[in-house]
Amino acid sequence: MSLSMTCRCGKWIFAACAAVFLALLSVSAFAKEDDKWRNEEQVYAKICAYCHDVGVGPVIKGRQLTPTYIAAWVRHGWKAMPAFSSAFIDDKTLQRLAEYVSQSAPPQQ
Amino acid sequence: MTEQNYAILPPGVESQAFHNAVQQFRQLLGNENVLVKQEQLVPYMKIMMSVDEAGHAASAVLTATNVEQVQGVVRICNEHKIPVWTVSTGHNFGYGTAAPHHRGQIILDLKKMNKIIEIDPDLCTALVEPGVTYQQLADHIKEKGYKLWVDPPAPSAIVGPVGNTLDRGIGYTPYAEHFMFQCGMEVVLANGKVLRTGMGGVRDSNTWQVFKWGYGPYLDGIFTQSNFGIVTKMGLWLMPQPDVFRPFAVKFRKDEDIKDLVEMFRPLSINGIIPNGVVFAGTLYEASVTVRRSDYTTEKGATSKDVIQRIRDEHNIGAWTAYGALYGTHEQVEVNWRIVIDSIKKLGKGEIITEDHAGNDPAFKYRADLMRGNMTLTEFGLYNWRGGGGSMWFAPLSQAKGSETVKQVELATRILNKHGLDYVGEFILTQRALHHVIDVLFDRTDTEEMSRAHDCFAELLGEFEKNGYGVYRVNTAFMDRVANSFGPVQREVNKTLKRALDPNNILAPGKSGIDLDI
Repeated sequence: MSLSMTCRCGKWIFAACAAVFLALLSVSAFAKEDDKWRNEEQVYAKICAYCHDVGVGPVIKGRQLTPTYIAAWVRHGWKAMPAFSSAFIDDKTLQRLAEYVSQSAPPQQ
Repeated sequence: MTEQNYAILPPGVESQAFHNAVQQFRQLLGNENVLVKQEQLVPYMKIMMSVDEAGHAASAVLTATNVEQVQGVVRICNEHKIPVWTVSTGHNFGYGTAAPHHRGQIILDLKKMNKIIEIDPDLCTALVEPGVTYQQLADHIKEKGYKLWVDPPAPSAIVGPVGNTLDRGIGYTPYAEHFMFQCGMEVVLANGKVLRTGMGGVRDSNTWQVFKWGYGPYLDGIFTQSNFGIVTKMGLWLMPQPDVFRPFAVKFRKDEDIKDLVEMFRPLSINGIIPNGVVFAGTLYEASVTVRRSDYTTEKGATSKDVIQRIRDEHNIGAWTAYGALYGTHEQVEVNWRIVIDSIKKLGKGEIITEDHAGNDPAFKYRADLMRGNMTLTEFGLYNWRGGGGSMWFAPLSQAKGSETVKQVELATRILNKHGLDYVGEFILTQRALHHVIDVLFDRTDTEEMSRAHDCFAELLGEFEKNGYGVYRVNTAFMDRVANSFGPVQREVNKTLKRALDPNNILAPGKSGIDLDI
């Protein structure tokens, strides 16, 4: 497959960040009284990874993207990257996930 | 910006009246659920259509968490004649996303209403709120240990059954026609009353989620693709997990093979041999999982036939790839598999790909995931084909006849290419009909290309209409245009219903072309 997301332009990096926050969205989706996310890794796996770990969106782990930068792209969206509202992912959860992605190690090759 | 100095107002509503309404909304919902600042509204501005976002900018967003709050919102909107556009998860990509039909409408976002109220593992039914996503539902089922499947559309994890069903979306398992597998609704009407459709009207009924029709006129249909009420609960049927699931693909090498493959698959679908929504994916639809247009050319305009052929050759992609699956006991699947194999052999063409043969092919994997109700967002690779975030689904219906598919593909390709765009399409077979879904992909950051995409979409609608074809669903920028395709009598009946059920025209005016002001 020819999708090498890491060599795409900066805008795609932004998009990737935004996608990370897709994961955040799912937090509130699972916000039933008896249904809690275990941690940010689970959020990432349930939403972000569907694009960013399979070559649809750019790799976003291990790039030291700042949490502020990531959060901005999640809320705004960019090109193919959807925007996620605070109803889908609340601000606190978004911040937590942004920090998780920001501090994550690069994915294993 | 002060509270009284709103950047956008609902149509026909003065600033002071809107401010009074906002204060009432705050009292009803709490400050955190009434969004009026531009930075709060930004996520609702992200669209993929070929029009300016400003034309679809909301004046405010409200989030409700229960039915009583929805009733309260409707009451306040009636009092101030404020139009309200309702979304469930807000991810109706290619159809308008979360943005309202026209500028100034407020958005009622029901994402926070995300309770899975009930699942009956014996009857295989569920009752859910609008904010429940397929991911949430699937995880809940797994956690409970129920042997049940969901049927998501391609954006699976981040959309939900209520919104998709109300827009009459489709999936890929045997439960692909979502509205067919919906059963019972709770609807907040414009007058504030709460309607429970079908058997839900009977006190203490336990058959609301098992019998669709109730008594008297069947009402559920008028609350789909419409603006006659706000659905706050919906019943749906879940598929029992089969003992055996066997996905497969069949590759066909020539463009004209679509004719024969449709003729071959139609009886297999009608007879229930292949029970799911069978897909016939065109080359570029299939390629978008692994290929970007820029890998082959950076020239603007339609992709040449030579390039498309190179993609086929270099990535071993068919002109058409059929995806289907068999479900049932081991014995059932073996018998049906033999019937499928024999049909393909009889046809004399088509390369059969089983799950073992496919290996790690990402296209096969995501198709197999969709056909068994797994979450995947791999189809978003479509947006990488041309890039730039522009996408509008042009989705005409077709008879399940080979000759019709040839006609539609040729017509669509000619129009798309004329406007410098590509045919990126697939058919989804459900017995007698084909949903022909074509993603009109364009670069939204290129104003010239966006303009071409807009003209292209209009011409597609017009030319298909001349040939007797109508679309099953469309984005908010073209809803009024499409309503005309279905004739003045349908429009008048819809308007009559609107007058009766929502005389103040507050519920999503413009949805499906239904608006008392036009």
